[in-house]
Amino acid sequence: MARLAEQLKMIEVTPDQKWKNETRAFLLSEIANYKQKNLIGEKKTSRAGLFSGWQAVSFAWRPVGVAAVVMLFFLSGSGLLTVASRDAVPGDKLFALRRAWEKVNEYIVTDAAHKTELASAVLDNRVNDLQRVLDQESQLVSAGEKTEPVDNINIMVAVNEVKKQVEEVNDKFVAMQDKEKESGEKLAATALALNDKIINYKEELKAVRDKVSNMEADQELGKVLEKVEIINTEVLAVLVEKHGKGELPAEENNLASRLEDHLNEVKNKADQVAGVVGASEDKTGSELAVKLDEAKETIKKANEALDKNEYSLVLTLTKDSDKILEMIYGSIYEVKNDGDVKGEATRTPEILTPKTDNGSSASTTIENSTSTENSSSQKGEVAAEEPEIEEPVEFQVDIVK
Amino acid sequence: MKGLKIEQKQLNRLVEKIQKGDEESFGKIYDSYVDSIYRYVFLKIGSKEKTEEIAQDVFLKFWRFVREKENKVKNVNAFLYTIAKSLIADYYRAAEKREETVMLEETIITEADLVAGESLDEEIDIGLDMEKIKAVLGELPQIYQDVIIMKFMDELNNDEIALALDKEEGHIRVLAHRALKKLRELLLKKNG
Repeated sequence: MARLAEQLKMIEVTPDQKWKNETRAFLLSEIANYKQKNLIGEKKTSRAGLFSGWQAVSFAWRPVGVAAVVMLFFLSGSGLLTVASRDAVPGDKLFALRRAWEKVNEYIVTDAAHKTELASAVLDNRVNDLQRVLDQESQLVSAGEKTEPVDNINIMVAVNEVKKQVEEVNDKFVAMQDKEKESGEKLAATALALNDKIINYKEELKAVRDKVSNMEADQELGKVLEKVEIINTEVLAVLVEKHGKGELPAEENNLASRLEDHLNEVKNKADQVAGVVGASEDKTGSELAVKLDEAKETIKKANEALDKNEYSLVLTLTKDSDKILEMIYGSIYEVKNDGDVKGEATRTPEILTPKTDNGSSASTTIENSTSTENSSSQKGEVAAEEPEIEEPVEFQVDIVK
Repeated sequence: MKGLKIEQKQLNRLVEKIQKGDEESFGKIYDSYVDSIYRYVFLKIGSKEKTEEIAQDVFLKFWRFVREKENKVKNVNAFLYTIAKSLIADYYRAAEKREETVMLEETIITEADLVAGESLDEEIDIGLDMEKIKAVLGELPQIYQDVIIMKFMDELNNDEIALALDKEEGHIRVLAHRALKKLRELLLKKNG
């Protein structure tokens, strides 16, 4: 007869699998509802949300805030008009005035960190705008005033505004890296704040993308998300470097979590690639499957490195695996070479379009992304051929160092 | 701990992600702990229906706390048991059932207890069938039930039990010894 303590261990009390599954589904739906309500709450108080955006803006131009307000008041010709423009969304007539207001701030601010902060605050506004436009369109459809927002111009305009502002954030952060080399703490603090925001942007943009029925908008949002992830890679590279120098105030675990989030993006991409490769039954398909295994193995190593807190290695391996995945994409699809695609390294199949006349491919484009000297201001240029990847590749794209 | 064990480091990451609204991370924690929390509640309540209700509430409250509070949950396992314990107490209060309390003298730790605690498993080595153990468990004071379920069934370590029950770690060892002893006495009594 076993001992009492051992017998106690053997007592089996387990819930029904059905109950477990149902409860899991219920809890996740409760969470989703909460998030949805929260989102709706934010939208209902969009004025407040906007205000917080403007608060962030005001923080950035605080040194010359009063002068800016006065100047803008006169420039706009009417203070009331300026105030009214605060609620304007892309597509509205007053939106141009709102952008002008934001532009004034951009010109006034001189500090590189504040410029990045300002660009990020404006991006908050653009993402909010996109959500509002989408809501407005949905309400119109619900009210029967529109059939389907499939060809809605306003949505595309709002998406493009987000896209432009993402580029702006990228440019400002890159410029800051150049200017703030000596100021490690400032750069680290900005990178930390930006990484937090990027995680939120991704979540919000993915939620918006789920709601969008317009195919073109969906594809553009895919590109925006890729671009955001590229900026994220650069931000993480800064954080890892700062961590190595002991200049990062965040806890170690915090950095691990940030890297894990990035690694998960690549894992998701690998899953997408697996779906595409799995559908391909010819010889090319089996070759790509081998490549995919290689990417998965690299991801596995990145995970192991993460467990060992070898952050720099995590970043390198993540880049490598991402690059392999991009090569697989490049072999399956041909992409347009219109400059927008150039250098983007986290493409998804949805955004890939039929081969263009010049016949450039994804892999070619990616290889060019490793050349940071070429990448920033040469949109539209056809990138040169590059050989197979053998060594860790710079992931930075459209970023001038 | 029975079931799929998640390392503390990984748990911290999952909690951070839940704070950011990640549902998948919550799902992972649910999958890892639902069995043990269910077992704990069931053995304390006895009603399948009520257990299901409480176990569900445990995870809902856990999510709300993690999502809404800035401060980190130090130990997810212990925290889930703390929530469960609190909900069970609410259940008994609502049902106007008085919770059994451990007599004062039973909570005083003596040197003999500490020595006995070292050889706990050796001393209580009697053969009994499991149905009887389950039946008798409900007759124990709540704190003994807690310790027996957490330590011997769900295999929490003393640190986690101490956190969950808000006791000193050294006290847990003694409580475990006394709880097993009491359980044995009751079982023998049942056996006649």
